Formats: sequence, C-alpha cells, structure tokens
Amino acid sequence: MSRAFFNIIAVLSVMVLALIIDYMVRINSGYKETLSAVVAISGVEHISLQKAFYQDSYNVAYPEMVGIKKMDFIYAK
Amino acid sequence: MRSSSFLYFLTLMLFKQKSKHIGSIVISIVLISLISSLFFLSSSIKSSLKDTIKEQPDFVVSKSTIDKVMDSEYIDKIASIRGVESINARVYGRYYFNNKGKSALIVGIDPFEESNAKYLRVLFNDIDIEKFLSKDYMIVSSSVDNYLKSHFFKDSYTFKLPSGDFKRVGIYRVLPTKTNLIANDMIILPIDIAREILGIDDDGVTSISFDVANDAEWSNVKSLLYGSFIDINVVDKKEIISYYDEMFAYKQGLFLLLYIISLVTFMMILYQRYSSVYSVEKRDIGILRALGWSIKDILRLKLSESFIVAMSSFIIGVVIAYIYVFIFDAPLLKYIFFGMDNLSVEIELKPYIDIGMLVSLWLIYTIPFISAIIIPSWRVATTSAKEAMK
Repeated sequence: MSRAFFNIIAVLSVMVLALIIDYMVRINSGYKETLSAVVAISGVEHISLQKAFYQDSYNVAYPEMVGIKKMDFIYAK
Repeated sequence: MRSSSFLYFLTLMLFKQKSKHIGSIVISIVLISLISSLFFLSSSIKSSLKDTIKEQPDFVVSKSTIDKVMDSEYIDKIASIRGVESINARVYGRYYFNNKGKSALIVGIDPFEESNAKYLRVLFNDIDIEKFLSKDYMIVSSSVDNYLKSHFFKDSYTFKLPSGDFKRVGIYRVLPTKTNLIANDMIILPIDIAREILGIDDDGVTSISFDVANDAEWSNVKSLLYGSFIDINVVDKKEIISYYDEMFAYKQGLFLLLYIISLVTFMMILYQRYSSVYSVEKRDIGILRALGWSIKDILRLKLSESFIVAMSSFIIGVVIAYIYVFIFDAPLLKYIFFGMDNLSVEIELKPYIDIGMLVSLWLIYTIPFISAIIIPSWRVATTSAKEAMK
C-alpha cells in the first residue's frame, strides 16, 4: 500500500516539475520584446478587443459628440 | 505511534475508501481548474500589458468630437508647452471590410524613422525596409491574414477608398502571434497609404503622443492642454494602468464571487456527506479508540487523509488549468476578455503564474475543505469507544 502512496506522490511531483520546466522555458522566449516592439511601432497601447465597432459609433441625438459605448471613448475614460 | 506504520495505515484507509474520495476529488479538480484558468488568463494578459508600459508614451491626445483628424496647429501648440518632449503624430483608424461587418485597425507608420526601423527588425530579423516601401505593401496580423485568405485575398487586398477608387496593397509580412494581444486586428502601413485609405489630408493626424520627463508636472501639462483646446481627450499612462487594473479586477471579481458560491455549496454538501459517512463509520473509530488510539491520533489520521485529497486535487486542478490556458491558449474562456464579434482571436499567451494568487486559492479551498471533514470526525472521536461501537 505504501508503494501506491509513493507512486501517487511521484506522479504529482512529475506533473509539478513538468509545469515548472515548461514555465521556465517559455517565460524567456521573447514575449516581452515582441509585444513591446509592436507597441512602440504602432503606438497602440490597449488590448485588441474584438467588439463590433459599428455599434453606437456616433451619438444619434447629438452628432457632434462621440457615442458613449465606443471603445476608444471607454479607453479614454 | 511509529510514523511508518501510521503512513501504512493512512494509505490503507485512503485506498480502502477510495470510492468515498473520488467524488470530492473530481468536483474539487473541476472547481480549481476553472478558477485557476481564469486567474492564469487574466494575470497573463495583465502582466503582458504591464510589460509594454515602458514603451508607451506618457500622454496621448486625441479629438473628442466626431471629426477625429487634427492638423499641425495642435502639434505646434503642444510642442510649445514647457517640459514636453518626444512628440509623435500618429495616424490610425478603423477600416470596415464590408458594411457593418468585420473591421481592422489601420496604423500608419514612418518605417524610415529610426525607432520604427529598429523595432521592425525586432519583429522580423531579415526585414528589408526599402523593399517594404518600394511598392504598396502592408504588414498584417495573423487574424487579419486568415480573414483575408478566407475571402480569397491570398497575397494582397483591394481597399475601397473614401474617394470611391480602389487601392491594391500587397501583404509583405504577417506579425507573430505573440503580438496578437495588442495587434489581433492590426494592419501596419506606410503613413501615406494609411492616410489615403482613411481619407486623411497630408498633414492630418489622429492622435499625438508625447512624453513629460518630470511626472510632478503631469497634472499641470494636462490642465494646460485642456485650457488650450476644448475638443480633446488627454489620456496619461497612469490612467491606462489603473484602467487595466479596474477592468481585470471587475471580471476576476465576478468569477471569484461565482467560485465562492460554488465552493460554499460544495463544502456544505461535503460536510453533510461526511457527517452521514461518519455515523456509519462510528464503529471503526470506536475500535481504534478501544485499541488505544487517542483523539489526537484519530484527528491526525483524518487530517492527513483530507490533506492528501486536497493537495492532490489542487495540484491536478492547477496543472489542468496551466495546460488549458498556456498550451491550448484558453479556448472559449479567452472570449470573456477579448470578445468575439469581430475577427477571430488568435492569441499566444505568455505564461505567468502569480504565486500570491495560487497561495490565496490554496487557502480559500483547503481550509473549508479540511474543516468540512475534520469537524464530523472530531464529533465522532470525542464520544466514548463503547458508545461509538454500539
């Protein structure tokens, strides 16, 4: 029975070890540099939300004002 | 009691009563993997965005009226403010592939500008900027590329200009998927072509970014800007950081609330279940007491048993969440943060584990879990051996 117990401990340890190795390998694979480069080039600093931008693109009642549900208005707030 | 014989007995109990534990292990794994996935996803996005903060300008000025285009007068006035440096005029806008349909973010850049050229080389080691400018070329994100390919635009796309003419622009490169967090729907073009597609005059810009080295002056600069113009929006870097924090705290908070409700329900069911199990197992505990086990020994046995169950469920749940979020890029769950109304979301998430979050999750889960098992055991263990064996 103790062997079964140690087997479980070994399996769990292997899972944790594999997670740590994958984490250590991928954390240093240039995410920061690549993302920073595209921010520096484009000047776009917000996440790329995939909303339908045609909705409320302007305020029907007051055309001179931006629609309050427009995404860049929300970012500005 | 010798520890090896205790361990042997503990293992024996765990395996003998495995059907009793399997249900709680499965439910715990589901709960932990769901909430960990959400925390992994939000902390990864937040960490990636905060990584880019250094590259962002201190201020971004755009127009608040429906006419988004600013002329050189705005740039001149901003440049005249003391302390303002690194002014950069930007051209961007949304291009609709069809009426009220999918859209992309057009960004106009000057590829010959020193910093742009440097960063383009970070993205593409072998990029030839002169070739990029030799014809009408664009750099698109992988989502835009896939959208265009699915509409039979393999190597180029024909833009409809505001004048009614058409302009064919070739696809020069596709941005790495690692950039899709920011650039999922982005098309990068030389600034002249971007102006032509968006219908902006030669000196028109859509936003102006700049830095102010002394952050004690930020509020003064902002007041000066609002005093000089009545039709602008000024956003500073600090506002963007606090906006991110608010957005993620809101979405995470909603899920944490749901998690706590399900956890409390689970613990109540567990408590009820273990209470009834222990009334059946009273006899076993009575025998252990009659054999000389103290209340402390029995509680130690039950504590170890529940700790092993909780620990195993927690580790398996977290590993499943890690695989789901960072290996498979969180299918379905990512739409909570990114939306799904426009182009398909093809993100590659940066692995990021917030240890503080994991410890909190462990405590929120383990303390009620162990309590729900230990309390009924304690109630049985404190009765006399004779009564327990009846």
